[in-house]
Amino acid sequence: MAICTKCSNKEPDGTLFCTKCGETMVLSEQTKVEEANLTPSIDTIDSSVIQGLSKSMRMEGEINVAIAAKINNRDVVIRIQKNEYTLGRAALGQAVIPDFDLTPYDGLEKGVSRIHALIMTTEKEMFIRDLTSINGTQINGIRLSPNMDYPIKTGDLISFGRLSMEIKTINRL
Amino acid sequence: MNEKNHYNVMNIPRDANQDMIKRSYQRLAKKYHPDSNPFIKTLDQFFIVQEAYRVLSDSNERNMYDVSSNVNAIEYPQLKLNKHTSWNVLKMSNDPQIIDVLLEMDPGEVSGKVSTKRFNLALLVDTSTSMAGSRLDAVKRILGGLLESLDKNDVISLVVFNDRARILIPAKRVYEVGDISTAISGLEAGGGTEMFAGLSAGIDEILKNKVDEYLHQVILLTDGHTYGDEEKCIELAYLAANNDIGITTLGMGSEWDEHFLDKIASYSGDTSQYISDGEALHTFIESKLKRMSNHEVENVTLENLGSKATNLIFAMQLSPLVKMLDIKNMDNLGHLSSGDTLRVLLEYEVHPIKKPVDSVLLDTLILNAEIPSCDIRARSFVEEIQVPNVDEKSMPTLNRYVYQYVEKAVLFRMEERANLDIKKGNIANGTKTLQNIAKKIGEMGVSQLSEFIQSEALQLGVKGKYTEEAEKKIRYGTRELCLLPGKLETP
Repeated sequence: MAICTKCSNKEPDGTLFCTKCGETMVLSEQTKVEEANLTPSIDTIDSSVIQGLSKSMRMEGEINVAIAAKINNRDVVIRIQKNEYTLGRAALGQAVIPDFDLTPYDGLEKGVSRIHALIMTTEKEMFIRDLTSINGTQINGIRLSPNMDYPIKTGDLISFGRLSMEIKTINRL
Repeated sequence: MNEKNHYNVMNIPRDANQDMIKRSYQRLAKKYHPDSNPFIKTLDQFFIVQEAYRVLSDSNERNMYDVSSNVNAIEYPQLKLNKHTSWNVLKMSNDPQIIDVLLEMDPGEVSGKVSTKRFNLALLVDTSTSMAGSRLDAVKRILGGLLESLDKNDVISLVVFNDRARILIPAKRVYEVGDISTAISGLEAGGGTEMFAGLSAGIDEILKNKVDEYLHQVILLTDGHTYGDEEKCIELAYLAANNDIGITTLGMGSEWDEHFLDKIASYSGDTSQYISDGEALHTFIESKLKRMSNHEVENVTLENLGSKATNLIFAMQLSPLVKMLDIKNMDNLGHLSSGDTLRVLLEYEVHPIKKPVDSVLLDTLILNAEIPSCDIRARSFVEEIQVPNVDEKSMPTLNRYVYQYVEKAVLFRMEERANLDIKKGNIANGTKTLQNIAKKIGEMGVSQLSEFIQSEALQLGVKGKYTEEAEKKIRYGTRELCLLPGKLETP
């Protein structure tokens, strides 16, 4: 007989998860943390897991940035309040939806992937990372290697597939 | 070798023993006899089965047939089957213990080999009042798209239903359809949802072209409950599946019953799908057609013979579809397209092991599958799952590879329970379970879904209910999570 550390529910020996609260019956807190840091394979449907990957790299302190941009010739202000901000196409029923949805800017027609890229904000700089999107991400015409961070600044022209985004200003609020 | 050889007619592997031949004959005789199958009008197919049985059940005749058609010389690739257990050994104990078994099968040597068949499709659209407006427009667009992506020789029909069924495009080849706008212009929403009428009309259209060279599929799109004819629909779906007609069920909006749609799809080894909007519908149908024309392995079935030492307490399929399996009748696990791995999780309760034994037989499994690209399609595996037993001093070792899949299954089960609790009005329990799910999903690194569930749990705590839309989103989001391969690679 085994007893759940969280809800004291009794389970037969060999049970891996408490049937009442879902807590693990066999792994310690320590191993759970190690587990979370394992490198997942990225070529899965939408890689949600990415967010867990860089959890440990996250910076302290609040983030509040506004990017004024022109996406597909329309003016947009993107408000970023988290360290990692994803862009892509949202659809209901998708396990993970991006923070910024490019569908209204013809994202589908222009070849934007569901989870296409990520904007990472640190205390001093901003970076963009292509999340192994199908049609790739470019800065000023140069295609980025997937899963690598590239600095971005005012005046850059970024393309997600064939969808262009011109950065007008970046303001920290 | 002839595609219609006796082995394929009987759907048995070339090394089938007499017992298998007999069982297969009994099943097929029922399937192809007009007395026991209302879809069958003539005895033609029955006689073909009878002839195959006559030859294969007589060892002399079978030998002669094998020699004359060179059975032993044909290419005969195998599928790859792996089994993993959550613990490497079982303990001596006066209490029962739990052990999980993960079964994995991939196309192995046949990967990349597909056989293309033409489609025989019936598109079934619910046009009840609730489908009014933009959803119906989406459907109109899809039809156009569907016709474009099909081959000109594929067969398609369009049936709409509300209180009754109307056939807008009778079964015909794609190139004969012509201008669809006139047919579709009559598509207007109104009335209630009576699915049985629609389903039977759609199947009738399929039956007009019921020959082996086609892949028969009904695509049913609905957004509401059907009233009073659920049982009849389920019976018909079962019958259709037995006649190799697959049914895909798609739910739009939030007011449909996923258990019912799952059930209808389950007989042909499918599950229901949540469709959020026109674009999602388009993407889904396109990928579905692609998957269907890309089968490397078909009609996978699983049967467990059981063991005196254990009880099977839970069974779930994790890939390529996510669904609970009936532990009394697991049966249809669907098809594998390129790149798919079949993944099934079985959980056993082992009775107390009081005396030392060498090993415990957990179960005997029979796995059947068909490889459409092979001259003799059927494959059959009989797998015994044995686990060694140890004395009380040594410790069993956990298999982390299996652990990660059990965790996914746990999420799915928790979601089912939360849902049930909420429907029964047991809000406190439901909220708590949802919060636990959110926490677990967060730990798995999927923060958005986790946050969404967290906020819905809060809503639920305050208002005592959540929207059907949220329910669907949580359910199908969790399912999708189950589909993701584990982080750990095969040991």
